[in-house]
Amino acid sequence: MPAMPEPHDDLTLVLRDLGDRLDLPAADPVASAVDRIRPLDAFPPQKWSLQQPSRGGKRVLVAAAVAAAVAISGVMATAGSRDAVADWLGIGSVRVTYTGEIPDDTGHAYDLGSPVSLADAADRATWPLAAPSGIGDPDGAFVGRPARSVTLVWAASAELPEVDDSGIGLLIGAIPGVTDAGAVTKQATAGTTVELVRVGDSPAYWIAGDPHRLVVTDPDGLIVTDATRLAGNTLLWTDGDVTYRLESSLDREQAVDLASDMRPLD
Amino acid sequence: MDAYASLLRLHEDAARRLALVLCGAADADEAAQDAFVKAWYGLNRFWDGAPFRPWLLRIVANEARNRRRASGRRSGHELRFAADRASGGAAPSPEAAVLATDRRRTLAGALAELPARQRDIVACRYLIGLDEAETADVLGLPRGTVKSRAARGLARLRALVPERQEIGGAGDA
Repeated sequence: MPAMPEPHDDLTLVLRDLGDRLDLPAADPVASAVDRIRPLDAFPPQKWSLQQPSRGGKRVLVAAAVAAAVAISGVMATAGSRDAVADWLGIGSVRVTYTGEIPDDTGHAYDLGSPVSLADAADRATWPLAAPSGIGDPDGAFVGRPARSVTLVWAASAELPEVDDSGIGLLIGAIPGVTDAGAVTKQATAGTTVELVRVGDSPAYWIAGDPHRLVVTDPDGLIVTDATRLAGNTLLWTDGDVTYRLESSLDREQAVDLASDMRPLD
Repeated sequence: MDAYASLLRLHEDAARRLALVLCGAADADEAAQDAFVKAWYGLNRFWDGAPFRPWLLRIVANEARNRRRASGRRSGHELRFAADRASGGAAPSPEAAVLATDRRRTLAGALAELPARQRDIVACRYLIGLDEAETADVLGLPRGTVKSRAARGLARLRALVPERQEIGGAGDA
């Protein structure tokens, strides 16, 4: 502390007085935040439980979701939205919305885009195309859904159990050029659990449970509702301006291990 | 969850005030709310004995500044302040109250004119009352930068509000 006050030392005192008089809006963000967390909080993040909610538990969650939708509707400007968006979380360009319902078509068709050779996929990708080190080359590559993205597919095997009756064991989609928060939206319902995990140094989402779907706002601002993907467990993360989606029936640790150790595909 | 709510309540005032000075009244509480939700999902990465408050405030500051950036605001938002309250002692005369309100308004206007990099630091240091280390932590800046920008911000404020009497007589002998 200076022994002698500076000429305008009182300025800091007046600022402090001003700070004490800050006019806070009449709101309760703590209560609102807790209401938003509750419906998604089937498993607190510390527990790392992978059990599915019981049927009874699911009904409770749905009731909580309705309550949350009512609580949040006054805060978020989602009027006109087809789904009752009750919650969202964001990392990088990815946003998870929490909705009342998911259309029935999720997981029933597998329009992955146009099939191409692996070499063509690598040529088209504007980023270094990569695949997990621990497994062989993908059995298929697709482009164009969403625009400029590449989806790599591995057939079901002993190591990669089949997701539903799709014949697919693993799907890794890479979507480039989405840098705005909210550009990639994963829609989840009350029966879906969303956990924040890490892939390398990047925050990632682990989404498990009931079906969920991906909505992408591509670089041209076009919205692609990606309701045709698998409905398996999903790991979602970003690396630079590329957003990756790994879908499989693997558990969280296995999925994170695969995603954390990617090798370039030539 | 109730424990988490209780934990948030301890820091709610600082968090809301921080959001308010960084992104303005229209977005402040949504920024605070989003930060509280994100902090919950980040708890598993946090529980290692580190102090909760600076970690939470850093998330709040990031949310608030992201919202400010997203809104495209370049100039500062002018903050609003509660009117004079009688605080135990004699209530100020109506004339004195009007003068004090005018002075605060003048200073609030000058604050809004500061460049954001200086305004954020002046607001954290003096409006919110964070110390230099906390401010550096919350805004993700080196302490030296906080120190120099705070000094430049205060100097700029003095230049914008040159008359000492214009900003109030607090501290005057």
